[in-house]
Amino acid sequence: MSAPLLEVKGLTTWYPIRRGVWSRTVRHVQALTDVSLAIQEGETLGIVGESGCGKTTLGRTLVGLERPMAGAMLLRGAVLPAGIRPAALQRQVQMIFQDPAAALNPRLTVLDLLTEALAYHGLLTESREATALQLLRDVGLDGAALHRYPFEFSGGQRQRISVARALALRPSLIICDEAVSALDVSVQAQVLNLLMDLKEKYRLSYLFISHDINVVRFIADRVAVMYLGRIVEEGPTEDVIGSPAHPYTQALISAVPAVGREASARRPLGGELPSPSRPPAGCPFHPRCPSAMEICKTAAPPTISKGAQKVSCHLYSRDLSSQ
Amino acid sequence: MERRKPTLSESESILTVRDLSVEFDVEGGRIRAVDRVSFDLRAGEVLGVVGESGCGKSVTALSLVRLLPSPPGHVVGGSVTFEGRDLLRIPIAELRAIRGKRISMIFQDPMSALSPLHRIGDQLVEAQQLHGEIPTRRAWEVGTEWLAKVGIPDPAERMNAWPHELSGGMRQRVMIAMALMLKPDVVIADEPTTALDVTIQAQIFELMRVLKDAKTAAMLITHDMSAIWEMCDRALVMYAGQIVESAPVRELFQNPRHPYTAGLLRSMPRGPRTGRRLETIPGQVPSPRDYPKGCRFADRCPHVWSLCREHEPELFAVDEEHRAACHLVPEGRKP
Ligand SMILES: Nc1ncnc2c1ncn2[C@@H]1O[C@H](COP(=O)(O)OP(=O)(O)O)[C@@H](O)[C@H]1O
Ligand SMILES: Nc1ncnc2c1ncn2[C@@H]1O[C@H](COP(=O)(O)OP(=O)(O)O)[C@@H](O)[C@H]1O
Ligand SMILES: [Mg+2]
Ligand SMILES: [Mg+2]
Repeated sequence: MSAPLLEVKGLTTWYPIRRGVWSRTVRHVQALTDVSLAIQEGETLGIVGESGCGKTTLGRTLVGLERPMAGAMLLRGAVLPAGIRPAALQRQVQMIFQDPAAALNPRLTVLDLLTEALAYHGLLTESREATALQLLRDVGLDGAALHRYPFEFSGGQRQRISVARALALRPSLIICDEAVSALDVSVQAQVLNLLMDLKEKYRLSYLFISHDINVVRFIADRVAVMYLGRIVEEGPTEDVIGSPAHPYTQALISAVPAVGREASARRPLGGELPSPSRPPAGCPFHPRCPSAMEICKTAAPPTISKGAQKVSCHLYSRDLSSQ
Repeated sequence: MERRKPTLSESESILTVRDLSVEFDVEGGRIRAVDRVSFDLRAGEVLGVVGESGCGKSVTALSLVRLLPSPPGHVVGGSVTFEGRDLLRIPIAELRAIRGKRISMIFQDPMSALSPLHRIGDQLVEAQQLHGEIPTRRAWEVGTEWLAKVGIPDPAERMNAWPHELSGGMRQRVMIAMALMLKPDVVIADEPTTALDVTIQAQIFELMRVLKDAKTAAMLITHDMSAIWEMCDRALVMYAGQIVESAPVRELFQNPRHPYTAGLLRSMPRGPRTGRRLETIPGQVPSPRDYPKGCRFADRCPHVWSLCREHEPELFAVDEEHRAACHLVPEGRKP
C-alpha cells in the first residue's frame, strides 16, 4: 500500500496553565496526548468524543494552528519539519469550523474571501472573478453572491462559503470541525451531500470531527474515538459503531438517541469528563468505567488489535494472556 | 410540600391552548411569529414540539406563561387555560404564584434561571420559600436531596458552590432540580439538552423519565427528531409559526402525513450508510416577513399543486389522534 496522505505519530499538544507574577507554568491542560493516526488518500476519518476530549486541538495541531510538544507528522511519507508550518502543509491541509460567522472576516466580500489565499500564495491563474465563480459553483451558490458580505447569508449558505474558501487552494485534506453541528437537519443534509460530492470530484480526504455519531456514521469510512486527549478505539466505521470494543465507545453509542430503539435499551454513562489538567492515573477512563479492574487504576492500557479495530483497554489484554 | 392530588383524569387536558397568535414589532410594521396555535397538554404526558429554528417554538413556550418580552412581542389572540383560568388574562400576581410552583420552565441556557450572585444552596432554598412556608434548614435538606437526585456528586458540598464554579452540564442539572423540586404539574423545557454532550443528555433524559412517573406533564421543545422519539408520547411539528402535524410519536415516525415531517425524518442521517446521499428538503424556512399565501411549505414541497398556493390547508384529521395541515390528507394520499 502506498504511503498514507497524512500520518501522525505520538502527537502531543498541551496548553500551559500559568500562575503568579512570573507566569510560571504550574500545570498543563493535557489536551492531546500521544495520538497516532493515518488518513489515506480519498478517505474520511471521523473523530468522536465528548466535548473537551481534544478533538479541536487535534484538528488545530494538524493544520498547524497549534504547535505540538512532541510527535511526528508525515505528508505522503515525507517527514514534516517540526515547529514551523511549511507552505506545503498550508496548501494541502485546510480547516472549516462550526461557526462560519466567526471564521469568515465580516469586512470582506465573498469575492475577497475566496481569492485572498490564492493571491497570497501567488497561485491565481485566471481572473479573481472567474476563479471565485468556479468555487461558488462547486458549492452550489451562484454569482450573485460574489459582491455580498457573509452576514447577508443564512447559516447553511455561510457554511457553503467556508467550504468554497477551503477548496480554493485545492487541498488534499480538509479538516471539518463540527462543520454541520449548528445547522438544522434539512440544511445539514444539504451540506453533508455537498461534502460527499466534492470528495468524489476532487478526491479529497476529510478528518471529520463531530460529537454527533449519526452524522459521523453517515460520512466516515473509519472512526477514531477520543477520551481525555487520547484515542481509545479506532477502526472501520461499521465495526466500531456496530460492535464497539472499548467500554467508553459502548457507553457513548448507547447514549445517542436512536430512532426505532427503545429507551430502555440504553445504559447511560455516569459522571462527567475529568479535568484534562489532572487526568486520572492508569487508564484515564477508569473512574467512569463500568468494567474497571484493579490494574486499570495504575497501569496505562496497551493498544490491542481486535479484527480491524484497535482498542486501548485492559479488558482485551486479559483475553490475550488467558488464551 | 404536599403534592396536589390530580383532579383531572389522565387523558384530560391540563393546559389547553387555543388559537394563540403572537406578533413582533419590527422595522416597518408587524410580523406574526406564531399563528393560531392550538393544542392540549394532557396530565402525565410528555408532549414534544419539534421544528427547525425560527419556526416559533420558543416564542410559543414563552407566551404560554407570559415571559415573552413586550415590546417587541405581543400576544394578539388566543387563550391558555390552566385549571379553568386563562393564564393570558389573570392578574400578574396570580400568575406569579403559578409560575415556578405549578408550571416551571427549563431553558437551554441555565444562567438565565440562576443568579450568578448567590450560592446554589441559597437559590434552592429561596425558590422553595417563595412558594410556601418551609424552615430554612428543611429547605436546605430538600435542596441537597434534589441535587443528589439530578446526579450531582457531593451534593452537600455543591450547595455552597457559586454557579460559575460548575460545568455547563452541572448548571443545567441544578436548573432542572430547581424546576422539579416544587413538584410542578407542568414543566416546559425549551431545548434543555441542546448545549450538552450526548452522555449528559442521556442522564438528563433519564431524570425526565423519573419525573414522568411522578405524573408531571411536560412539554419538550427541541429541533432534534431523535430526542422526540426517545422522550415523548405525542408530538407537534411546527413550521413557519404554525402547527402542521400532531400525532402520537410512534405514529408520527411511521406514518408522517405532512411532507415537512416526512422530509425532516428522511434528512436525518441514521443507521449504516446505505445510499450515498441523504434526502434533503430544498430551500429554507421562510422569514415571517414573507410567508406566502396558501400553504407556507409550498415552495419546498415535492407534492405541491395549484390548490396549495391558493388555499391554506387546515389541520385535517387523519384519525382521532393524528392531524396534518396538508391538502394530501383529504385526498387520502401520503407524502
Ligand atoms: N488555548 C487553550 N488554552 C488552554 N486550554 C485549552 C485551549 N484550547 C483548548 N483547551 C482545553 O483543552 C481541552 C481540549 O479542548 P478541545 O480540543 O477544544 O476539545 P473538543 O474539541 O473535543 O471539545 C479542554 O479541556 C479545553 O478546555
Ligand atoms: N424579539 C424578536 N423580534 C422580532 N422577531 C422575533 C423576536 N424573537 C423571535 N422572533 C421571530 O419569531 C420567529 C420564531 O422564533 P422562535 O420562537 O425563537 O423560533 P424557534 O424557537 O422555533 O427556533 C422567528 O422568525 C424569529 O425571527
Ligand atoms: Mg471542539
Ligand atoms: Mg428556540
